[in-house]
Amino acid sequence: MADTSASQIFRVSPIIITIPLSPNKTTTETVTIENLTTNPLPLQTNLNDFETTGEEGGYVFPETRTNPLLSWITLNETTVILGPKEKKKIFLTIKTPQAIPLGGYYGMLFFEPVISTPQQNVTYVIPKVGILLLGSIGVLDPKAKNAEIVSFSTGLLHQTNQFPLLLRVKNISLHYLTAKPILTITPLLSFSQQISQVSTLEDKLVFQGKIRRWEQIIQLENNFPNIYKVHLTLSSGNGNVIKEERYLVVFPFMKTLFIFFILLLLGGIITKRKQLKNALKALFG
Amino acid sequence: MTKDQKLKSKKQKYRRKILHFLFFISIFEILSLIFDFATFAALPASTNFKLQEYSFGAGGTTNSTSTNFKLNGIAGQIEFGRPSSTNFKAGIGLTYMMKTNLPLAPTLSNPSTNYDRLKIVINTGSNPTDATYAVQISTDPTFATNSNYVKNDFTIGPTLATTDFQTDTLWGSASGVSITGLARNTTYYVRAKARQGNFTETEWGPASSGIATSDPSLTFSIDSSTLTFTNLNASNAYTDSSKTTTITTSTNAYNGYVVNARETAALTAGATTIADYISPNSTPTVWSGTGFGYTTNDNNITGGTPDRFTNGGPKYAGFTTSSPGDPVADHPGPVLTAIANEQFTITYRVTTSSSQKAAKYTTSVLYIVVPSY
Repeated sequence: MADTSASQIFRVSPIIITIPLSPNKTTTETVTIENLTTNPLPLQTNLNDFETTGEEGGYVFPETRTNPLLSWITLNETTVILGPKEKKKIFLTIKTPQAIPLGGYYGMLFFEPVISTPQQNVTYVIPKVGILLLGSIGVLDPKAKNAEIVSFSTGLLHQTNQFPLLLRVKNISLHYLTAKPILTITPLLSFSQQISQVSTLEDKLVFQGKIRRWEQIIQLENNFPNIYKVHLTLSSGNGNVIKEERYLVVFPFMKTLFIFFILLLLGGIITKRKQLKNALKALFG
Repeated sequence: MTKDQKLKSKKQKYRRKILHFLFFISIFEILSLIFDFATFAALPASTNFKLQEYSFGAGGTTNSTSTNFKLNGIAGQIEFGRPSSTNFKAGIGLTYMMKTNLPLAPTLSNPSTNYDRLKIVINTGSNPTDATYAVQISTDPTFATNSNYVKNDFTIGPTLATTDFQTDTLWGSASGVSITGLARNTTYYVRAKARQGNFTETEWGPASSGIATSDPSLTFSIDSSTLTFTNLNASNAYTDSSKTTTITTSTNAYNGYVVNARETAALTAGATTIADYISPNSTPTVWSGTGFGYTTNDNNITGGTPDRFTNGGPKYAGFTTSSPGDPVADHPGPVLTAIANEQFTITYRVTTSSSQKAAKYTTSVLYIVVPSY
């Protein structure tokens, strides 16, 4: 039987909310939610924990509310009914207690359509949109080191004009930070066609005590064998910058060896052509 | 040795010395001609020209220096004010002549409708490639309030350091770079100054047009809110693999988004269930056996081998019941052009054994979209 039920479309803005918090203060944040269909859309809200996993931006949002941030938030509406094409603002009032430890506090706010009269024999498909809430308490000393490079490797010898980059950065501060790596790749043997290449990698959020990873193939713009200096500038916010350097060699070793052996073989054939001729004669009569 | 012999020997000795002296003088002259030896202090020179003699009328020295400061001589005429327009101001003297060309208004844009970054392209003002540029950013078109500087990592900060002056190459040349860490839904203006060595720094150039950051938003839709499988019987080999859900996402989130799927429980009818397909999301397999599963047409998906569902597929996995679910669609960052109506299709399959109890089995499938970070 064909499925004839209505589609559900809604828009949420913003989807990442940064909340600067202070002890014993009340802050208000606004979320706008819009029904893009011509049908009424009832939505329910949920606050869940947000926990990161692994180094590649993984997360879970357990249906618990253990993070203190969630207990400080009050929503003006927990169930919203949006008329056709209606847009509504939801207010999050965040009231912090008098004494709270410095650091980052995180959570998720979900919007999910409500099934008003669930039918017994129907399988429902439910869309759900999550908003990431990033709270931080206290201002960090801008001169304090907030991140460290756990590993930075480019490999040393490469046959072609690309190399694998591995960069792992750890947040050693009490707040989340945005890590932004910039690579400047400079050929050390100077030829007129070769200039420095600047590659800005993706910015990533790193939560306190956690490690984020950048693992990708970097394509060199120059096609010539050369020795390259890879200079990493890692920005971790507040003007904090960490710099490191690596060197790598791009040279087609295998191709060169192959050509060398071919030349050697040709040389051998030319110098020993008489013996070779005699040997072939002896072999094939 | 006789007296005459001694005298002769002395004469020969002096003659040799004179010859040696003349020889060295000749060598010095030859070398002077070859290498153009300077007998006095170096005079100002370029590749093609050399100033043979110069002086300042009022006496003094070419320049005076101390540990921290250096004074350059100023040549010019008496100043009668500085004619100026809105964007330009006339200057006089050597110091002014040494200045780098004033960089014109940088080009500021928001091509990806981002909420925390804007793209800047420096307008070099025809300066040479080794000229360096600094950028000031403000929410005030006059720069009188809320002014900050673009640091050398392209974030913003309250102070301008020498290291924040960078070449046009480091500013991304014609491609530009993104200034990050900006407030959402806010209009910004930028202006640049240039320098090329000491005493060459310009004033701030004209300001760019005001460009606003967006609000980060996410639009999510599914094409239907319910799912009904065909009646499973011997004629269809107890199989239905024709039902789909199309999920559509639009966002300007810089790091992209992920859609996770999970079910609230296995397909259930009273106390009887249809088990979930055995393969997990991380290693889906070509369908074999029975169960309730899904496949996705996203061929570059997080959580394992990117094309694990499509390469050699379709390959199926069973739904999980645990939060946050498994990835079924995503768009990794960095998102350089806002994602508009990106669609992925999830295709379901249910196959039961002939002995499965006849009943109406139901569950709820949740598609949860969250911004990547």
